[in-house]
Amino acid sequence: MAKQARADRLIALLGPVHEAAQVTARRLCRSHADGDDLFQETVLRALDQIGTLRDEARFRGWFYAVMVSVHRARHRRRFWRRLLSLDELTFEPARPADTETWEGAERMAQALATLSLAAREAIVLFELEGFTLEELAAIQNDSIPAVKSRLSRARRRLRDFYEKLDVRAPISLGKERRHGNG
Amino acid sequence: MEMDDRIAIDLRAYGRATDRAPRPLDGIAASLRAAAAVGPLTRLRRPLAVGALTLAVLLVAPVPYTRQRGFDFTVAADGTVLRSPHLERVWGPVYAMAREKLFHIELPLKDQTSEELEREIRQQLVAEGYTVDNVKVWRFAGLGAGIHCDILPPTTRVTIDAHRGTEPLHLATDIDVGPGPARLLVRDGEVVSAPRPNPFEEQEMLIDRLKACGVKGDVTVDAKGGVRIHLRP
Repeated sequence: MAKQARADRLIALLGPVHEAAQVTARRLCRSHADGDDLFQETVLRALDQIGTLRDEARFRGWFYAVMVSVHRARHRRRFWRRLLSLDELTFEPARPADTETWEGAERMAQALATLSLAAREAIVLFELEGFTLEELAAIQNDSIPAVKSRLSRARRRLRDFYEKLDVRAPISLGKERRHGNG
Repeated sequence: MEMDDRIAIDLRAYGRATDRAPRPLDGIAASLRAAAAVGPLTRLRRPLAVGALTLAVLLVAPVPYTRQRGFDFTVAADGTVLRSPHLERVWGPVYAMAREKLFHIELPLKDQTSEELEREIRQQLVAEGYTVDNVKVWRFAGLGAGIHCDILPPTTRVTIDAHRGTEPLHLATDIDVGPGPARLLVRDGEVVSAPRPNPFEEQEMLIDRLKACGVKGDVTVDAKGGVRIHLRP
């Protein structure tokens, strides 16, 4: 059956990338639940569009491009969520972390939330997922200079956020952990 | 640079904190096979069906609205006729309310001169019972058309025969049947001083005359000689 064959093809291709893709989805979103929803929706979209994938060697980039497209569509749909203040951002560490790691992660989650959608994607995909500029340009469907410029602006924005917090490295964080998670 | 170092450290911390054990591939595969069995159309159909059902409920569910059913006419002692719309509050579906509120004109814009369009608009308005004073159409090449209409309130001619003693009086008036209150003068001023017949005779006479004019209506004459005519459509 054609649909089942498409599903089997996608499952086989997802094997090597699904774990990293799920993590990326969580990093792109403001909560893990949103990230899991994004991944699930991306997989369903990929199932519908898998027929357009010609070169299976390029599956990873193709799948992330689908994820970025779904991410933006979800963002447009959830208009009101864009108006959430940073105070309402709930950062849930995924695994046990020490106080410094947890606070640094929470601070970065807040800093990323101040970026535009495309800038957040650029930082996450380039800095955390290790995509090259060429791959990032293909995923974001932009030119390499445009992506370079976006990354530069995003870094400046992060720096501004940190300067306002007046947080410099190395620092000693004496705050109590607010959410227990190991 | 200290700040850049801090950012790099926090980015790595964010990466570690979000890197939890993801959902196993088996679970994803089961979801995918189920989705493939259902198909994209069915996935799409559910929200569409919910939307269509909501729309249908909105269209069919009764809503309160006011509609006009005829007019109330009051003939005052000084010979003037006061007309007010006879309104009633009803409940009905949205599409019925829309039909009450809308007036539709269809215009074939293509290959029509401005004069032909003006004529067409005038004809359709007149056919709907409107009195059209002025219709002006401007055509703009490639940009469509501008239309200006001066529509007078539609009128209905009501003729009532009365008697002053044995002398017959002919009372004719154009009654404004457009929306909103209006005060209309009876054309034959002589009726003002005419002695009125008794209320029962006047009521019967008016009903007969209304019937003769092809107008359905209820006539009420009170003890003080006030006449109230309710025209039904």
